[in-house]
Amino acid sequence: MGNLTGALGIMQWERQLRGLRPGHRSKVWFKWYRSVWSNWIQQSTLGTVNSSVAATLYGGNTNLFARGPSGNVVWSPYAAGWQPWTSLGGVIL
Amino acid sequence: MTRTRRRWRSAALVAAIGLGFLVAPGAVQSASAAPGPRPSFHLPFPCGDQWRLDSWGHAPALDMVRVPRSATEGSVIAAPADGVVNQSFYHSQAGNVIQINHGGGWFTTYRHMQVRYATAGHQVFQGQTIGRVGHTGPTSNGTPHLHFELAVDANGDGQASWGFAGSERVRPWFNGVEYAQSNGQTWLHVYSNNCGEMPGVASTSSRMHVFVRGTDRALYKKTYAGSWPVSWTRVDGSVLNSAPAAAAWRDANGAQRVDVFASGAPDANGITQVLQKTSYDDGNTFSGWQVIGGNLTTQPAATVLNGTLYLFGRGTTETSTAVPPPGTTTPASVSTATPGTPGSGAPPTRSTPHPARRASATTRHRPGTSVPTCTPTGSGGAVRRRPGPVRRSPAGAWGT
Repeated sequence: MGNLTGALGIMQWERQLRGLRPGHRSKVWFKWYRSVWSNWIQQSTLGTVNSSVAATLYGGNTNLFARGPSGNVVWSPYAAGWQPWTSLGGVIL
Repeated sequence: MTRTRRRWRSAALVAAIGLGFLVAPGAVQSASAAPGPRPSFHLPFPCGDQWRLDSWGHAPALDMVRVPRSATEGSVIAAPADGVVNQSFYHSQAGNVIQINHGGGWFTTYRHMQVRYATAGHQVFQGQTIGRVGHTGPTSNGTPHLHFELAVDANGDGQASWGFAGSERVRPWFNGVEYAQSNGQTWLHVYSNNCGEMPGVASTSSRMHVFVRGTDRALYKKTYAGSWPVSWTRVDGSVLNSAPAAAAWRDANGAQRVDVFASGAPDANGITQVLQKTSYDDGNTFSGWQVIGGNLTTQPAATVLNGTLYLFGRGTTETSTAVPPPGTTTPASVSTATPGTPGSGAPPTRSTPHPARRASATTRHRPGTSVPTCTPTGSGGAVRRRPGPVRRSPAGAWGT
């Protein structure tokens, strides 16, 4: 998958441990653990981000958060697939 | 190539003459002053971008082209560290030039920029866009690239000369790695870790909370309960030294709580303390900051296991702290020193947060009003070094 940039965000989801972080060209990659680790997989449906990716489980689904390219906060819920980033506005560090 | 190099040599000579007086003529040359600690510089490009670095014949200066090279022209240039723009002007040889004063005698200089977005006197934050890569000025040789120099004010005159051998430029550092020790070096794939901050997130059964640090470095939040509010809530005005981390959990006393953690502002010795803020009403109101000790260099991470909340971070004195539930004694290893919080006084220090004592700051507005900024999330990173052959030419194919 090439090189990763930024820190690693980790969450627990349905007995799977998933790691997410921006990687090559700031795309989101993830892997999961269920007895063994999967390979890293790029989330092609998600656009580029400018930070590591945070994740939380809400309502039974994973929700991702990151800093968007323009400094805003972006959000992507998992609903039958990762939804495109939605801006939550703001300008953060 | 021969013609290109000859043209470059001439241009370089002109540039050296032309740039030689960039230290203000007649400036008082005071006794040399030791520079302050080197700031933690990142590559001057957005997070994840990949660049090739060449020292050519002008080490410690570096020429930078993007990978792929065709994407170089117009690429965003991002401040590698916080600072104040010291110079921003068009030079007859170097084209559009910006120099940033990062404090402590450290300066970075950027040449041949396509466009400049910052003027002298502007405060810039790490990751902030200051311009775009171009090929302005004859010494660019017409080839889009960024000519970068790190300099130290060696003579203590408050300025840093640049652009010629013998100037105050020094070997650049990015993400803790030193470059351009000598001429003729090439680094083919250097990734930028000049990244923004990861939000802190936590969910209860009914709500999802997002915590961020605004450009004023204060804590903001947004809460999802079926929909997102339009505005961000400024939770607290204290200046933080890291992005926040959050956890929603039920403690050993059965209380549902939302905890937020971050590093406080450093004290006079550069020491920070980890702070904790707690809500017992699903994020509606929070306690004041409680100091729980530790001197972390990164955003902490929080997780919960069997009623115990664990906090992790990269630090210098403490790397893991188990947070006690209310009513228990603060671990003896936890310092109670108070970090400075400019503008708001020292935060309250309590070992047992209580719902009755809640923070009152709930001003609603967008987090921050200035341009986007970033903060690094770590050092090191994926950098592949491959020193290239020493080139006899005093110049690089891409100009100066």
